[in-house]
Amino acid sequence: MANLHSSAPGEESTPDLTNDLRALRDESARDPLSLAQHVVTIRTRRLQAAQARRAGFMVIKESVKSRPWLASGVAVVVLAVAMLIIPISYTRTTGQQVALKLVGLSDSQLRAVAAQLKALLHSDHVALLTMSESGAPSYVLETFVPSASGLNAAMIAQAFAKSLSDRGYPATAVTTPVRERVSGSVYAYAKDLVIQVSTDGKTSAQIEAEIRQRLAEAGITDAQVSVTDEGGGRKVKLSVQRTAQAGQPQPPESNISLQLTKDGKPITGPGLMVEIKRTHTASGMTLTLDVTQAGKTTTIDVPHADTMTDAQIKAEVEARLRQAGIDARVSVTNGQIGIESNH
Amino acid sequence: MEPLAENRWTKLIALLEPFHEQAVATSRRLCRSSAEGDDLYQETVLRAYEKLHTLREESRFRSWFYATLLNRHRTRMRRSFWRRLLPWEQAFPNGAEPADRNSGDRAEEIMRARRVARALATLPAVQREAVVLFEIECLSIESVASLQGASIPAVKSRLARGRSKLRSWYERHGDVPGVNAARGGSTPGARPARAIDTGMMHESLAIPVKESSHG
Repeated sequence: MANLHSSAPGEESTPDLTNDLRALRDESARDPLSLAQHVVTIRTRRLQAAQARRAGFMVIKESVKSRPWLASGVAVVVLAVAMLIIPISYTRTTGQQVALKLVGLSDSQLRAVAAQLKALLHSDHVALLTMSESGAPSYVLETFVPSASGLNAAMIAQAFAKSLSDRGYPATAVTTPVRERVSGSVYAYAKDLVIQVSTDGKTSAQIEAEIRQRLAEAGITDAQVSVTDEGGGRKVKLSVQRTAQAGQPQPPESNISLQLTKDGKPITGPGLMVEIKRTHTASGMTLTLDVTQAGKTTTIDVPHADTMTDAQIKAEVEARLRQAGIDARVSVTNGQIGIESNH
Repeated sequence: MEPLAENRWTKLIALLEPFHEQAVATSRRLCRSSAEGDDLYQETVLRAYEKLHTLREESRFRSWFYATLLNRHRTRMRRSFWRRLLPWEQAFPNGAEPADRNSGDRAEEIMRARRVARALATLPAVQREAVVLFEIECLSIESVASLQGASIPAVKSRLARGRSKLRSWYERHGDVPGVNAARGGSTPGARPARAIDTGMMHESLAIPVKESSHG
């Protein structure tokens, strides 16, 4: 391996710094995962991300339909939650504890398995437990995989255990979620929030006030809420806008759902779910809309939307919705987009 | 997977294979840990996959890939801005390697690497890149300038400032506590290790197989 550059032109180095850089060079070159392993991980994560998106990673569910006193019109809801900084205490899953049980391995084999497990799960360390079952030694390798790693620890551990068993090394993997009481932003807590509002015997104004109150309790104080009586029915609109700067911390996705009920049962109908994101980069603003109606989902990207007129944006979005078979009408006013179902 | 997408993966893997290990090492050197470096590398590979159609000449793939790597690195640096507000101990936890009979030199090498990784993490992204690419990757000033999309004087300035900050860091922190954490102790906030220390943990062995075939 080539020697380090001893110093930049005209500069001197400290011996510690030079030796440390050399150590970093050597350590960072140790035990790289194979390209095939990296590609497998990338493709798995990509698939999981796409599945989470389709499952409605960020959902506002709105439905007013199929009751005599409800309008056939369905409100379009766009919900995005701004980052909030009010800390609260709540319980969440912080990671997965993985235990890999092995029998009949030698010391060197255990070392090798531990090293591979550590590499696959990107763990900081792997702990070894030695046990005796019916007089025969067995071993358990344990490690903790934080949720933030984004890895499907259970799947990886199971696949690894199977590959070991297939090669003649009996192995079983057990993965246990670890839940802890943590303090975090209200936004983080609201990730799993479902807001349920009963419409029984309430006026539109009362329903609107209750939705506002429930959102405020969840820390969302800047939502635009509107509940109006139209054409013998009721229309509900809920909107919270967010804007992301490319390269800046992206607000994490949330699972806030709004569910209206009558007589204790959810009100359903051919609702329209829309998620709108505006991402600003050096080259301009990209508008991204995820639209779902009656099981059909489409993602519409409109690059350089900041250079387009309202009419151009409207035409582009309408054309893409038609292509996707989604029946909706689009309005754009000063860049603000509204999409409503035609049902 | 659709045939076209599968072809694209095949093409990307063929282009990447010749220098894959070096690129992984570079990614790790730009980050605070091997795990973070592997994440950066995977982000870059994914980005390269998505943008492969924009590559005009396959002969330029390597420099194109490295430029993508540096872009992803800077994006991640901006994204991790809030981490800088964390207390030092949380931002740089002392990860203790399990006890090893053969700790000695290896443990010291690991701690040296971690120490300089911590120091590099305090540099702005462009200075960190310049130091890593010039000092460790041993690229020429001209090559570094080309990858960073900067002028030669700008790269020289980044190197000078980066080294100056590193020297200051070493003067301030000197023998940081984490450097001697190799021989036991626990990582603050980490899961308690209920292990029986058998001194058997060592990372360098490849897994032996009973049969010669692989899946």
